[in-house]
Order: sequence, then structure tokens, then C-alpha cells
Amino acid sequence: MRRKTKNSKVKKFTARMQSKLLFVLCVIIGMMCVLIGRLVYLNNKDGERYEKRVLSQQSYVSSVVPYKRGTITDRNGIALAKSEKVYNVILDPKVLLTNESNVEPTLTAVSEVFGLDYSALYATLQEKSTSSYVILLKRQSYDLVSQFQERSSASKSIKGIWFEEEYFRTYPYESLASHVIGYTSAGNVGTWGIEQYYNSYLNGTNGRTYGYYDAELNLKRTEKQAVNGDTVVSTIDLNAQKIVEEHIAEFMETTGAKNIGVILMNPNTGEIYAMASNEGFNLNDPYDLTAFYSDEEIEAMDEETKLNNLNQIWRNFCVSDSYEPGSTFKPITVAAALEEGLVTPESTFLCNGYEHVGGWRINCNNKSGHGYVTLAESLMKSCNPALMKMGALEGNSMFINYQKHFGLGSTVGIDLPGESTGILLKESAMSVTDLATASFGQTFNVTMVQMVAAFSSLVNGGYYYQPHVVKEIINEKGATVFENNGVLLKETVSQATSEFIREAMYLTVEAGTAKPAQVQGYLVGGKTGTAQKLPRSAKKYVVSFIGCVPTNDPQLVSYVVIDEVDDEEKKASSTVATQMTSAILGDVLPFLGIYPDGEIEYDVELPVNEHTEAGEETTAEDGENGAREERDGGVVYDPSEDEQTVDAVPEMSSGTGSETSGDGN
Amino acid sequence: MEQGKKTKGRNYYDYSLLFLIIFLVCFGLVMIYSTSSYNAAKYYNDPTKFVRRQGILGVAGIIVMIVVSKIDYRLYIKKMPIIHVRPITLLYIFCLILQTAVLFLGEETGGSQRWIGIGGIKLQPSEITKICVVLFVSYIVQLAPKRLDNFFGFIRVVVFVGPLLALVVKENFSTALIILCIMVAICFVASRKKGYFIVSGIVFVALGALLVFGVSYRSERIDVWRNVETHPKGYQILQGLYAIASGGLFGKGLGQSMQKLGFIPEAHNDMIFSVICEELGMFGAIAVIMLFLLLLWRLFVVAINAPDLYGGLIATGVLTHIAVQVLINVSVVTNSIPSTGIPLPFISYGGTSLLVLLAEMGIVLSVSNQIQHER
Repeated sequence: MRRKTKNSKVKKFTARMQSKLLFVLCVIIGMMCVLIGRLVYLNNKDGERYEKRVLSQQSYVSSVVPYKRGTITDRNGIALAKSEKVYNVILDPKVLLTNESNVEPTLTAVSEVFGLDYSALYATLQEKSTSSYVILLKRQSYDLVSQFQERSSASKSIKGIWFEEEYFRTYPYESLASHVIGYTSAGNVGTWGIEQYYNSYLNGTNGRTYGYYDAELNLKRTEKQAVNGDTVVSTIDLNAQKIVEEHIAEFMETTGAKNIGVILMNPNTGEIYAMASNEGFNLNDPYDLTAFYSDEEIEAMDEETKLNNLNQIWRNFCVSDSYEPGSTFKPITVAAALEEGLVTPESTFLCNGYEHVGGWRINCNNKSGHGYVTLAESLMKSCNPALMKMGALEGNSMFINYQKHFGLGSTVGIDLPGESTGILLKESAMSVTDLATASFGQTFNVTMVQMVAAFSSLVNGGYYYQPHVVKEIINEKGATVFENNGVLLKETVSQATSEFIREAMYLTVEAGTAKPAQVQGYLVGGKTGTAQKLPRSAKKYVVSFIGCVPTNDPQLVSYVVIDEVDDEEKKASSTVATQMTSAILGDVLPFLGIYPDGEIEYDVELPVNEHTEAGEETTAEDGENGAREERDGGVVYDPSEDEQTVDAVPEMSSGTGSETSGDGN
Repeated sequence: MEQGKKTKGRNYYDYSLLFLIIFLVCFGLVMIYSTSSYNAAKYYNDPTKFVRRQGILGVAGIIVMIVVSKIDYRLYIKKMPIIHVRPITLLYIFCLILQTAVLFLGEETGGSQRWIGIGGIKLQPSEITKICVVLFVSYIVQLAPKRLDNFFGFIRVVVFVGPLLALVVKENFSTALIILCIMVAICFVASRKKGYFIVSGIVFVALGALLVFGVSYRSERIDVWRNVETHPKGYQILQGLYAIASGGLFGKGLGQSMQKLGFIPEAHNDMIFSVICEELGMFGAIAVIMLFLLLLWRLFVVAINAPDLYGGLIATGVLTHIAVQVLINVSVVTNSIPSTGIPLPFISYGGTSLLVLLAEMGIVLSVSNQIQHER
């Protein structure tokens, strides 16, 4: 370089240069003014519009990170319903096509990992080249996706493929406890059962990924994590439920019935161990009718009948359907009379085989009469006249109050949707005959859960616990957010009354009408029931057995209701229900940790006549309900008769006047 | 070292310029804290992460500035005693090496390699290159200012700066633009003719356009600029516009920006001006522009009072540098020109960039320090 600077005269920043610099400064100032103008313009022109957007986009998301819906488990933590993460494979042709050299390796990787056809992929890519969102595959497993991600992190040229997370609800046991669990529709909307009732707990909060472009126009994503749903621990015991459903299925196969409902409940907490009916449906495919109807039948259905049929299938018989309980109600009438001091265990009642009430002749199940029966025997032998006498002693008002006291006529508040209230007669509308028949469980409707809850309180010392199917709710972090160890709603009867009922129930199974309910090694107690359905002339019956075990300290209450047995001979026989109970209990009890009592002596010292006539041989009492028919101005009650032989199907009376009564054969 | 000046009466020192700079740096820290604390707390669990780093480097930068301002700028073009090379030549070669190195060793961010890591500090060589260009062009021009009176004199300058420019333009178009502006401005001020600037202006516009439309990601930016509300990549700019327009006259108040909560990405960087508009309103934004104008005015005063041509041209170059950077940044934020990443001087986040900028201001202060206080 030159050495000119050395010793040369100092060059000045001349005035000319100064003026030029001033010109430059002026240009800059001018440009700044333009920018200020631009700022003002932006504020005036778009101010309001943009301000609204600023406010509105506070909820703006570029994509949703789905939460995981909570798991539903049985009481031992076995998942009954769970959501699994699956991935949708998304192709972004726009991104992929920005660099042609990426196309080949990317598509090769996709076709190799996910088993798609390369040429088909290429065709899709060309066809949708302007799109940014093409779903290639749905519900891929994590294994495949991580395999792909390994490849893509190893290679820089795999571009334009990303994965959308989704959760897919599965029910590993398919139809097991279907009515209790319920299913989900439209993503995470619980329908029926626990899925519906605890929907808000099961659902979480979606997270979000915000996408934005940085200074280099790269898409950056920030993610707000989703809050997953809570785990719902139900009171259902998987094994108990399985056993119950197996027995129902077996019965449906060998005999068949319109409906069967079974509830197993812990009387000391209200926890339901099992709740089943014959029409379980596959929760993984709740809209599938093929299991219930033939293809031609389904073909013939229009949308509405299809929906009706589906509703019928989804309906939870144990909670939503009401029916006349029949003799299983009798312990309540007796307990009420005891509580009010109207009777004592020593009271005796004369049974002639029938009773005249309000112009009706209402028969006992044993038309020849039980003779004098004690209070305990009235239950053991399921003696209608004795119960009618007690009903008469109580009177309309007291009787109905006790019905309500035992939770009948209103929902018990079980944590399942679709519970019905049942139907009670109004006090004013109740005639003496109504009262008489109501005393042994006719003329009003109950639901299974109502009966189970009421009966539990009778045998557990008088504590009425609210039946429930959910024990605990645990959030994602493992903290318990909800716990139900039994909600004591009220006390129904005194300890003494409860003890009397327990002993009477034990005797009923031991020596009364419910002998088939016995289970080797256990102290089973319970009451049978047979109710003739309306219209009485149709001769359709609901047979049932409600029982507890072990009777001296009940740990389990079981209730089996069989609606319209498909067997002309057995249709009015509660034997089927008692037998089923025995079979279920025999299998279930060890699973529930209730072991045989062995040779435990259960001394029951209730006043019982030694000269029992019919009761001893009676294996099951039957059709104790009356049928009512209008005839020549007179009305006739014809309670069906004892079923010593199975063909003892009750018949309608055929005579005229109040005297007449049809006698069963 | 010759420090003969000291004997000749009191030396001038432009304190207004010094305090203006310090004020801008402090204002920058406030705005960086406001814009970055939310995201810093969210992602690093430390709301002061960014402002702390900027603060430390800002203080270091001010110290460097004051030290540099006490070094006579004329030393840069004097040959050093032992090795007989001018510091400016060394700096020029150093920049060439750095710019070459960054092409091969640089860290890639979004398709361009701009950063180079030296001992744990990330540095953009183009920052230093800008200083180098200011000093080097001034040096070339002051050697023979009369040569600029014809077009070939200008070409001569271009030839000298050319290699640097070529290295920069490949990766960083906007910095190349700034370098170009500095060069042209210095030549323009020094030259006695105006005519050929019009010609060269047209040539540069044509060249620029070729570059803009020739490189794919730049022509995409044009698309974004034209259709900012609909283009998918207009997101960042559009969010900035939302912020500006929603600020109103006096803004939402310091710290009250909604757009910084994740909508304007890295709001403490290049887009900081939009948050200033949102929080402080048009009033605040214009005040900031006024502050920069005041700064430019002080630089202008230093330039016209400079003791010699070299000092004056340095001040001219720095003035142009600051002005162009402010203009481009504000234009981008207001979507007046296509998007390009240029930080707002003194205010945007970027520690090393601030440090280098403050050193540059130190040189101008050094020029002011050589002004004989006669008036």
C-alpha cells in the first residue's frame, strides 16, 4: 500500500462533505418519518381488526394434543376399559416436495416400515401435491412409529412425515360387565354405565402444540402437555362378574328366559361386586346387532327399530327395569310389623290356605293351609295369609311409609345412569285388597338395586348403604380424588329386628322354601319370590331369590331375578333362581375371600311349630301372587299354589262370585 | 505511542452520545426482560435467563466502549512498530478468514450458516465485518478522496470490499445490504460528484432483485410479504402486526403484551419493536425512533466536527450502519419490506452483537475525543 499518509497534511472533512452527510441524514430522517407514518397507518387501518384477533387468538391452537381418557379397573386394578395411544401417519406433500431428492428415501422408509405400496404412495404424493395434510394410515402402534422415527433421525432426507397422536378406547373383556362399564362414542363421550356417569373424571384436558415460524422461517413447535383423565376403580370384581355371567349364559343356553338379572353386593358398604344381565353386548362394537339378530332381521329393520333394539340391548336390567318383587318383599313387611311392635316373634297366624279380603279370595301357596304359623314360619313357608294379616295390622299409611323408608319408589342413587324409581301405589288409591297383595310383594314395582339395598339393610343390622359401583378415583399423579367407602343413608330397622330376619332367612334356606339355595359349608339365608306378571291371564312369571351369606354375619347379598323362564314346567318355580344362586355362590365366594364356615354352629332359636306340614317337603314356594279377574261384578284372587310338583302351575279361578276360587292342579 | 494531542488544550468528549447509548442499552434490557421473562420462565424455569446474559454482556460492552474510546482511532491506520503492518489491514484479513471459516465451520440455523463458536461464545462474524468495512472503506477513501470523483475510483473501493461482500452475501443477504449501504454512503459523502451514484444505484437495485428472486427462500419471503395475512409463513410477521396495531396510542402498558406470550416467537429478538409498540403504544414507538434520530444527530455532529477526514468518514459509516439497521428492522416489523432478520441496535437481544456494536460506538467516541474544544 501507499505510504502517502506519512507526514502528509491532515485531510479535512470538508464543508462539502458535511453538507452531503446532512443530505444523507435528511434522507434517513425522511425514511424514519415514512415508517412513523406507516405505524400510524397500521394503527388506524387495522387497529381494531387486529386487536380483536389478538384477543381471539388467545384460544388459537395449531394442533391439539389429545389427553388420555382414564382407565376403568375392577376392584383389584385389572383394566376393564382403557385407552391406548395410537398414531395417525400424516404426509405433508408440500414439505416433502420442496426438495425432490427427499422424496425417494422418505417414501421408501414409509413403505418399508408401514408396509404401504411405494407406487401408490407416490401417486398420492403427486395427486395431493398442494396439500399439507394427507392421512396415510390410522391407528398405528407405537412400535412401528418409533421404528420409523429411528430411521428418520438417522437420515436427514426423510421429511414431511409426522404423526398425530390419538387414543383408542378398548375393552379387553368385550361384553363383560357391559351394562356397568358402558361404552364411549364420538371420541370421549361416555355412553351408559360408568363411562357416562364418571365421564367428567375420566376425561382430561387436551394439551396444545403452538406452531410458529422463527426468524429463519422454520416451523417451531411448543407443546402444552395434556392432562390425562383419572383412573376409575370400580367395585366390580372381575372374577365374580365372570362367574355370574357364565352362569347366566349357561342358564340361557339350557333353559332360557326373557331376562336375567344378578347382583352381588357387599351389604356392609354397598359395593357391588357383580351386576349382570343376560344381554351383554360387545363394548368394542356397541352398535353391532349381529350377536342378537340374524342378518335378515337386521336387514329388515329401519333406523328407528334398529335404535330401539339397540336401546333394549344397552338397557341395564338391574337398574332400569322394574317389576313386582313378589315374596322377596315379605321380610320387609315382617320387619315393619316387628319394628312397630304389631307382632312379636312369638305371634302366630292361622292359615286356612286363603284369605277373604275386600271381596276377594286370595289364596296361599298351600291351598290346604299351613295351619298355625309363627312369625318365622310365615317367612319360611312364604305364607300369604300371615303376611296379609300383618299388612292389615300396619294399614295403608304405615305400610307405604315403610316402603319408602326402605328406599322403594325412589331412586337409590346408584352411580349409574338410567336408574328408574319403580312404582308404588298411592295411599289414597290403595284398597284393602291392594294392601293385602302388597304385603306379599304384588301391585307395586321395584328395581333390583332397590331390593338389594333394602334387603342388605335388613340383614346387616339395619344400616342402609347406598349401592355403588365405583370405589375410588385416582388422578394421573396417583392421588385419590374421590373415595366411596360406603355411604350410610339411613338406619332402617333395629339390631333385634335385623337379627330376627337373619335367623328367619337362614331357616328359610335350611328348612323352608329355599332349600336349593344351600351351599356346602356356608350359612346361606334368603327368601324366594315368584310374581305373576300383568296381565295375570298371560301367566308370565318373575322368579327370584334374594339371599345373604354367611347369615350370622352377612358379607355378601346376592339377588337373582329371572324374568319369564322359557320352560312351561318351571316358569312359575323359584327353584331355578335358588339353584342358580347356589351355583353362583359356590363358585364366587372363594374369589371374594369368603371361605366355608365349616362346622360352625348357628343356633337359631326362633319359635317354630314342630308339626310343619307342607314346609318341610316344600322345595320351593311358587306363584304366591294372586291373579285378578273381573267376572260378573265379582272379583277373584287366585294366588297360585304351592309347587310340590313342578307341574303345579297355578290357574285362574273360573267360578263366579267372591266365593269361588280356582284350585290349581 | 504518540499522544501529542493531550498538550493542545482540552479534548472534547461527546457525553450526550455516551449517555444516549447507555440509555438505549438500559431501555433494551427493560424491554428484553418484559418480552423474554414469560418464555424464559416457561422453558428454562428462570425468568431472568435472557436479561441476565444481556446485562452482563451489556456492562462488558460499555467498558469495552469506554476503553476503545480512549484509544486514538488514527492508530488503526498507522503501521505497528515491530511487524510493520497496519491494524486495519490485519482486521481486514482477519475478517476474510472469519467469513471464510463460518462457511465451513459455522453452525447452521435455518438454511444459513452465520454463527461461529469461539471458546463457548457464539459470534456472528458479520458483526465484526461491519466494523471492518466502516474502518476499511474510510481508510481507502481518505487515502485519495479525489479519486472518487470518477466512477473508477468508486470501482476501486468496490474491488477492495468485494471479497468480504461476496463472502457475506452468500449466507446473509441483509448484512450484505448493510455493508453495501455503508460503503456507498461513505463514498457518496467523500465524493464531489453525484451522477454515477444514480447509475450505480440502479445497478445495485437490479443486482439485489436478481439475488432476491434468484434464491428460493428469499422469493418465498416476497410472497409472504405480499400476502402476509394468508400466507402460512406470514405467521410471525402477522403476529407482529397484530401487536403493533393493537397497541393504540399509549399501549397496553409495560409488561402487558399478550402477543409475547408465545405468539410472537422469540419476541426479545428481531421482533422486539412490535412488542414495544404493543406495550408502549405509538407514543413509545415514536419515542424510540426519536431516540435513534437523536443518536444519529450526535453521530452527525461528531462527523462534521471530526478532526480529520478519516474520523469524519468513520462517523459517517457508523451513522449509516445504525440508521440502515433501524430502518430495516422497523420496516420488517411493520411489513413495509419483505422479512429479513436484522436486530434493532442496542435493544434486541444478542449479547455478542451488542458487545461488538458498543465497541463500534467506542470508535466514534474516540473520534469525538480527538475534537479540539475550541468553539
